[in-house]
Amino acid sequence: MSGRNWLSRLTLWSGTLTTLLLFTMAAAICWGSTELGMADVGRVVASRFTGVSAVDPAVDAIIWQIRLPRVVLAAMVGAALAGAGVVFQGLLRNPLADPYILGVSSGAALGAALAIFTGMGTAVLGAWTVPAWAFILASAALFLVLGLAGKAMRTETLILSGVVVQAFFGALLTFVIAVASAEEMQRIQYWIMGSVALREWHHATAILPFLVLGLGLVWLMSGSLNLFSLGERSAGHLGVSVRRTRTVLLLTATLMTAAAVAVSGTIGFVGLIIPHVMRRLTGPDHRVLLPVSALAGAMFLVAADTLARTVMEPRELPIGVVTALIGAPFFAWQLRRSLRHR
Amino acid sequence: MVNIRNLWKYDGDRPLLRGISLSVAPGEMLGVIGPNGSGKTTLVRLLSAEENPEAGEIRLGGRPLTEWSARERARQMAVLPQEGLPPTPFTVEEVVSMGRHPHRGWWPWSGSRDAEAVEQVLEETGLQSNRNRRVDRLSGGERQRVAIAKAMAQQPRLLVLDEPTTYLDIAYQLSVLDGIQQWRRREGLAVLVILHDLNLAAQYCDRLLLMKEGALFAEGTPGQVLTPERIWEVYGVQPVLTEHPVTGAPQVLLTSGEQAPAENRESAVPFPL
Repeated sequence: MSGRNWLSRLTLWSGTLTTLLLFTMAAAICWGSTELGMADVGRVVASRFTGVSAVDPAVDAIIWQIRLPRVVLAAMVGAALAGAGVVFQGLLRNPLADPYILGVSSGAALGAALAIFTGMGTAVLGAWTVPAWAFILASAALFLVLGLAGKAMRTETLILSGVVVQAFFGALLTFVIAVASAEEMQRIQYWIMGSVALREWHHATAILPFLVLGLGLVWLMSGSLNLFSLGERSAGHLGVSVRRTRTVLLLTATLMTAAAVAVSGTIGFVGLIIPHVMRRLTGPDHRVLLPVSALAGAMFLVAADTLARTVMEPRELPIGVVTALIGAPFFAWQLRRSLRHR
Repeated sequence: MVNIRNLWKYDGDRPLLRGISLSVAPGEMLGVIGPNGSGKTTLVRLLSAEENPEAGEIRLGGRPLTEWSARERARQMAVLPQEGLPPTPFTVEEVVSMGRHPHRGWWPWSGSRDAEAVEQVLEETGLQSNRNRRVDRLSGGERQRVAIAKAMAQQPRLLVLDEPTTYLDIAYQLSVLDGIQQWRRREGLAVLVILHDLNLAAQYCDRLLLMKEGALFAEGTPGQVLTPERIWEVYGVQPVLTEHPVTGAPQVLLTSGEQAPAENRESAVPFPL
């Protein structure tokens, strides 16, 4: 594990995980009330790219209109949440930090719920109303947390500020739900437990730019993010502009989280568990950890969504239930393990 | 290498530093001594640009410290804070190569040519056999050695150390200070070190600076600074001063309260506190 071969570690792990991710996505598309073969999936995707259509229109519709956008969206949401989790954990030097602890997800969820409930700004923003409100309130939550934590922004105060802001935004969200009518309540319920059901291609294209630019920017800064593991003072002594780097990284991770919450609601445990597991497998170097966690997060959420929609057919579970049911015991087990090793 | 002129720093209206002036020349080791709360660590925080002084100026290599960018500054000055290295899961080699950060480009993949510098430092510090061990599995002494190696990889011209020997056993205290001494002789490094141990300070430093309540109390060679009267005035302790039988450096011996002559029993820090 010398410093020079991080690139070979990255190549090996991301190659393996990309293969596994593609296989998981193909399997997820095949699995469902209408059984399809992997060959069908391949043919539909190929026909879209080549323009030659030699596929049954019904199969084409199921794959291209229904299952593929859902699977692609689940993968992107998983990648965004896991990537954001890596940044928060790395910056705060706390394996328990993630978008939820910082109150960012609750801000985004409140924004989405407000947009659905009031419809404010729909005339101007159109289809972007829900994501725009999610961004605005997630950023508000972040700035509240940063403001509360003060100029020094010590790790402990930052996390405590996150807890306070999260409690406040959570209460507001419950309030919005309480005054909402039954029909709206069902839609808002989505933002609480999270779901990628009934998603279309425009949902996927809405999150794509934030995911690609966000992950790219964070990866370019991953060398500096490594130095934060020595403490903020030492990072500063090694030439990192601590406050600027931390602000850019926090904002980027918040935008990735808000984009994910806007299209899928608050899905828990991805940003907590995935970076944790991948750190054990690939080591703490963020140049490797970030891309590898994004791929693993994508795979995890695709698998979780497949379970959510097939396990109680024809009813669907919210995906957040599945991730929490898998994630919480797993995390408890990891926590015990790390406590015993101390 | 570094010049400090008339430095003032306040915490509210309480002065932490009161008009400190000092300079460290290349190849020189300046020891800063003084009781707890005398402003030593504040001095390090100002010197490392973590905080700004209310008045006065710090010049690094003839240029005001505020004009240096964080990266440029890190190429000139390495700082080892009092708390040392935290228990990080990175390996020894990874942490040492983090010292190369200010010399690297902006991209994650840049810095592959730094491998040689890292290799040389690992060899000089005898850390080769531990290179793949995780820093959080090392003892405090080993960890401090990694911290020094990281600073060496940084190739600074000024090294600032805040109590580098505090948590170490005597063997590691000597090994850390000897390592810094060799490095200084080899590279003409300027060193500013805060020490609590007056005897080590007297042996390793060319010059000592004694601080009291944020102000400069005395400055000079160890022999000039360390007198029983000054130590009594600054620390409130009556020491016995002697000469190191081998090096000739002044050495401070402490006498327990019960054994001290009756007229010296009165202490500036009474017990119970």
